[in-house]
This record gives sequence, structure tokens and C-alpha cells, in this order.
Amino acid sequence: MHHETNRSGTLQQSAMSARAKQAMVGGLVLCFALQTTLVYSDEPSPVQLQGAALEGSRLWHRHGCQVCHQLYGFGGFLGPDLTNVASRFHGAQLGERLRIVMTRGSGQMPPFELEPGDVEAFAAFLVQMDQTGRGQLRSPTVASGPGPFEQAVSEKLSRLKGPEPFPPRDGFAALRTRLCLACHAPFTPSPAGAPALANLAGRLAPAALDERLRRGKPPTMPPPTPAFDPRERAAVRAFLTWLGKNHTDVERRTTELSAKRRISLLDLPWWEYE
Amino acid sequence: MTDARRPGNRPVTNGLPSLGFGPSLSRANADPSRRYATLTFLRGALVALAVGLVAGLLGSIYSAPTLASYLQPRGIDLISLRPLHTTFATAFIFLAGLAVVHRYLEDEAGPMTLADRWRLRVQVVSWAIAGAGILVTLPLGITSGREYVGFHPIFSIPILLGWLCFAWTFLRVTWSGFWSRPVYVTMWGVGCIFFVYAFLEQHAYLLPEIFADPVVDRRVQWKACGTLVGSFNLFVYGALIYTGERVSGDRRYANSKAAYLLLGVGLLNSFTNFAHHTYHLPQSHLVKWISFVISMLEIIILLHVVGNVARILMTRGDGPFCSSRAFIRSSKGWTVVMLLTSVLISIPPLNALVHGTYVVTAHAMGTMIGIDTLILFGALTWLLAETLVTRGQATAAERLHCVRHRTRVVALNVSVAVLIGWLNLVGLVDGIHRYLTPKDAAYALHRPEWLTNSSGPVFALAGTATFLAFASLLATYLPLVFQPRRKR
Repeated sequence: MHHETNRSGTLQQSAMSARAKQAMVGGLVLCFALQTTLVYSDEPSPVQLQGAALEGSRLWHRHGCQVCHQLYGFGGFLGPDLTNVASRFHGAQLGERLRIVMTRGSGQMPPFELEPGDVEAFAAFLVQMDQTGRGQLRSPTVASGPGPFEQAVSEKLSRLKGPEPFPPRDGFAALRTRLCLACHAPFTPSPAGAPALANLAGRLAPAALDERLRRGKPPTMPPPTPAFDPRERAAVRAFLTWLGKNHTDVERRTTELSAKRRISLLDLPWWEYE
Repeated sequence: MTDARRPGNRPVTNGLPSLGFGPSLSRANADPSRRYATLTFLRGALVALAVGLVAGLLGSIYSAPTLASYLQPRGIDLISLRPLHTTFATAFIFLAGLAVVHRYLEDEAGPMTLADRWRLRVQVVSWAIAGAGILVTLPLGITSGREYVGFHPIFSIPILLGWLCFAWTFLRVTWSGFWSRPVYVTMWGVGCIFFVYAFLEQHAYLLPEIFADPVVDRRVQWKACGTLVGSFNLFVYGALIYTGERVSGDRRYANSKAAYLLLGVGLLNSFTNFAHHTYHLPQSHLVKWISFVISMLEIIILLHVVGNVARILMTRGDGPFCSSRAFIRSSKGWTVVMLLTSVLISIPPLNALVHGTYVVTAHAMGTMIGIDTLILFGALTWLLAETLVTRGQATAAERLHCVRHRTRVVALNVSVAVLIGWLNLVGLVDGIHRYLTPKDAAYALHRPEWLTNSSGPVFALAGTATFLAFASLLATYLPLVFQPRRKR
């Protein structure tokens, strides 16, 4: 193997000395120690979980919620990020919503067997997580205010003339407070498998639609929380009927408003947002 | 030596695969116990890959809502499938890396001592217990709820025990003259110790002070995840350089200054750039700036590493290890693609845009499959062929280097490309739409219609195609690796 002998000479010339290697690895270990120290000595969060919220965090782990959901974008991507979900609910709505969705399941989310107190613990945990910071990036120019669909609907509804016993605008307002739009998209089936709002009045007879608005559609659709009173149900039916008849115009206007939104790379913050 | 065979099975090469350089390195002379250790980890790696693939296939099917409705009533859901997939995919990486390390020990370590044998037994038994236990408990819904270590923490004990046994044996053999050995030995030695630290840190959440602070918990969790990946990458890149050296017969690179300098930058990244996972968490900006700057350095250097190794392999021309070269050449292409996307998503504003979307999955899977798995398949192909030739089964070895096998390699690359491309597209569209949706708007409004209708089904299709490509490879490798030794 004479070529190895020649290569031995070449090896000698280009090899790093043992001391140099030791110094290099030793220096890198020091860099690691420094970065580790910076991480562990960083300021703690102002939120410290205790009581029900701490139990909620344990339940989050025990039930493997991170497989599909995220907190601060960490986890699986089948379901939504739940870091700030608590801020979209008022009062007891969050607990009610959790109870229904977790015990009945929703689309690809399976039902869970919960013990008494589990829902309250989950709710307490999510409320505390909401206070730690903002989990998802939003454009500062569209961060607050209605989205294109809400704007389009509001514009069209404002042009309706004459009194109506159950105004569609009241129905739309009622829908928004129950977070129906969390699962139902306006014109298309949603990721959760819920049918489009614009098709509902055409697909279901009035009595069947009213039943859905009262009881939901087990096991996939939970009942609205809090429940609609009869007047609200009538207004929601009126809105859905109006939307079904006017969906072409509303969809076109929604598309126009959506097209005006533009992402500007200069608007993106360097590190954190909000 | 040529055999009469069907055209599709005609080998590309002439003659038998080389055994490497020097009669002192012939495997026929190696301690049988050490050869057995190599084979054991080779077998374990392929079995782990098979389990990970099945879990991954079912997981990708679950992403299509209509198909999930078939799996869910049967108690099959993502809560068990995802951690099964990540656990056994990671296990494949480690086991395959260890198979290559044991191959190195066959030449360098001499006969096994009694203590070496006992440590090997303890490692194999404890990892078998951990693997079987995880395989049973995860489908029962017993999970830690964590990333990478999604199994119950009780199984971390046998995993750590086995690892310490391996580390002891490896360092015992290599410590004498450690700093004079080739660069891959340094990589493996540092990787041994680094893994122990990263694995322990993965369990920091068991400390009440850390668990009670959800932000600190996530800072530490993603630090540990990043460094755990860094530790197994050391085994992968060490296997790459070692295999390249053995295939080409060229020892210069593994002992060169360039290799060590590149190792240095690689280690710097593994040690300090983990905060590119946590740019958007409330955290010290100094930590983030360090990670950002170091992340930018890594990219240039790693390109250099892969280019060097591939050049070494390619100078052999049509040698006897064509499949190994095909895998490693493929990994070079993937390295370019994945490093390019890594550059982009390491830039903080773009990171914020795509964080929490399938772009992250594309990055993780693209690097694990496109780089790590293909490198290890290149190494394992060479290792398996050498094993078969040593056993007098040269014809079986040639099956690993025939034209049909090359077709499988191409099919694997194409299916993975479709999968990764789709995940990137879905994630990018999701990220942009989410950014442009008001903060309090409902989740259902985040996606355009075409994406809502196609995301799950295309993912299921691409995942199935990738599974079939891997399955066709395993259908060749598994019978060969479990083939009983022929009596002479």
C-alpha cells in the first residue's frame, strides 16, 4: 500500500496538533457554558403557574395536547395555537367551550375522558398562558379591527332598508359573540370539516337549522355557548338566509378587501411582536 | 464475478465490493463479538425505522379529515402516532450511527473485554426494554406530552443507562491517543457526552421551578431539543466522514486541519445556536443575537463539508459502492436545499412569519430524512455489503448495488421532495394568511379555500409515497440483515 506511505507524509503537514484540538473543543465547551448560563439566568416570566393553572399544565401534558396544538408555536400543527385563545372568550365561555369540545371531540380532535375539575384547570392554565405574551405574529396594520368578511357583511347589511322583525345584522352580531366563525368559514368548508355559512340556509330546512342552533350536531358540532335565546336564533336564521341569497356579492367584496391586504417585509418586527 | 440474472437486476459494478484498505482492517479478522455488536445495531436501526415509518404513514393519513374518521374510532390518533414516529425515527438515527461506530471499534478496539461484553449486554437489553415499553404505552395514551421525548419519563432511565454503557466502552477504547485520532472519533466522543447532557436537560421540566414557569419551560425545552439534534448530528456526520474514508481509501480529509476547523464551527452551532427556535419567546435579546449570528456561520461551513466528502467519493468513478455514493450524493443535494431554507428561517422576521406552521415540519423532516437518513443509508449500505461479503454472500451484497436499487433511491428522493415541498408551501401560505388576519379573528378564516381542501389529502398522498419508497428499501435490507450466516 505504497500510496498510504506517501499519504502519511501529507497527513503530517495538514494535521492539527493535539493541543490545538484540545484548545478548540475546550473553547467551544466554554461557549456552550456561557450560552447555557445566559439562558438559565434570564428573567423568569411574570406568570408562575400554581393551583388550578398548574394542574391544567399537567393535564396539557398528560393528554398530549401539544401533539396537535401549539403554545408559542411549539407543538403539532393539526389544530390551532392556543397561547392566546383565552382572550377571545368572556366570562364562563372558555370553560363551557372546553367542556363541550374536549368531551365530544371536534373533527380530527378525539373526545377525552375528563375528571371533575379538569375543565376548570385547563381554563385556568390557558388564561395564565394568555398573560405571558403574544404567541402568534400579526401585522400591526391589521392587528385589530374586523377582517375582510366582517367588513363586507357590515357594508352590505348597512344598506338594508326597512324594519325587519329579526334583523340579519342582529343575527350576525349574535354569531360573532358565540365564536361560530372559529369553525365555520363563510364560503368554504373549514379545516374542522364544518360547512360554509353561506350554504347552511339552503341545505337545511328552517326547523332543522333552528335545531342545530339550539343543540349543535353531536358529536361533531357542539351547541353554541352561551345558548341562543329564541329571538337570537330567529335573527341568526335571518342572517344565514340573507347570506345565502347574497353570497356572490359578499364573497366578491370580501375578495376585494382581502386583495388590498399586503404583506410588507418592512413591517415585520425583528424579534418579538406586540 | 458476474451472474446470469434478469436485466433489471444487473449490477452496475464489476467484481466484489472492496473491503477497505489494509489487511489489518479485514473484517474477517475482527473479534466476532464486535462484529456481532455492529450487526445488532444495524438490525436495531432498521427495525426502529420500520416502526417509525408505520407511525408516520398513519399520521400522514390522519391529516386528511375524511381518513381520520376511519382511524379515530379504532383508537388510532395523532396523540400516539406522532410521538411514536419521532421516537423511533430518532432511534434509527442513533442506532445507525452506533452501528458505524462499532464498525470502527472492530478495527481499533481489539477483542472485547469481559466488561465490554457486559456493558454491551446491558445496553442492548435496556434499550430493547425501553423500545418495547414505548411501543406498548404510547398507543395506550401514556405520554409525557413533550417534544422528542414524548414517551413516559420512566423509559428515559434504561435509555440513559444504555447510553452510559456505550459511552464508557467507546471512551475506554479511544481515550488513549484520543486527540491524535481522525476527526470522526472526536465527533463521536463529543457526541457521547453531549447527548448525556442534552438528554438530561430534556427532563428539566420535572423540576417544579421550571415546570411552574411556562415561558422558562419552553426556553429550556427548545434549548434541549436543539442540542439533542446537535448531538446525534455528530454521529451522522462522523459516520459520513468515516464511510467516505473507507469507501475511497483516502485518509487525508479525516485528519486534516480543514476537517477540524469545520468541526469547530459545527460544534459552535450545536452548542450555541439553539435559540433560533425561540426568537419569538420572551427571552434575553443577547441569547437571540448570539444564536442568529452563529446560525449564519454554520451554513457556509456545512456546505463545504458535504462538498468535500462527496468529491472524495466521486473521484473513485464507477467503483463497487454505487448505492452508497448515490445516497450520499443525494444527501449533498438535500443539504444545499435544507441549508438554504435554514438560512431563510433563521432570519428573525421570516422566522416569526412561519413559526408554528408546517414550514417547521418541512425543516425537521427535510433534514432528518434528506440529510441524516440518506447519509446513514449510504453508510449502512456499505456496512451491510461488507458484512455479507465477509460471510461469503457476495451475490446478496451485489443486490444492494444493482440498477433496481438505484431506482428505489431515486423514488425515495422524489417522494420526499414532494412531501417537503408541499409542507413548505402549506406553511408559507398559512403563515402569510395568519399574519394578515386580525388578531382576534377566528381560526377558520386563516386559510384560502384551495388550501383547506387540499392540505390534508396531499399530505396523506405524499406521506404514503414516501412510506412506499422506504418500504421498498427495507424489503431489500431487512431480509439481508437478518439472513442467517451460511455454514461453510
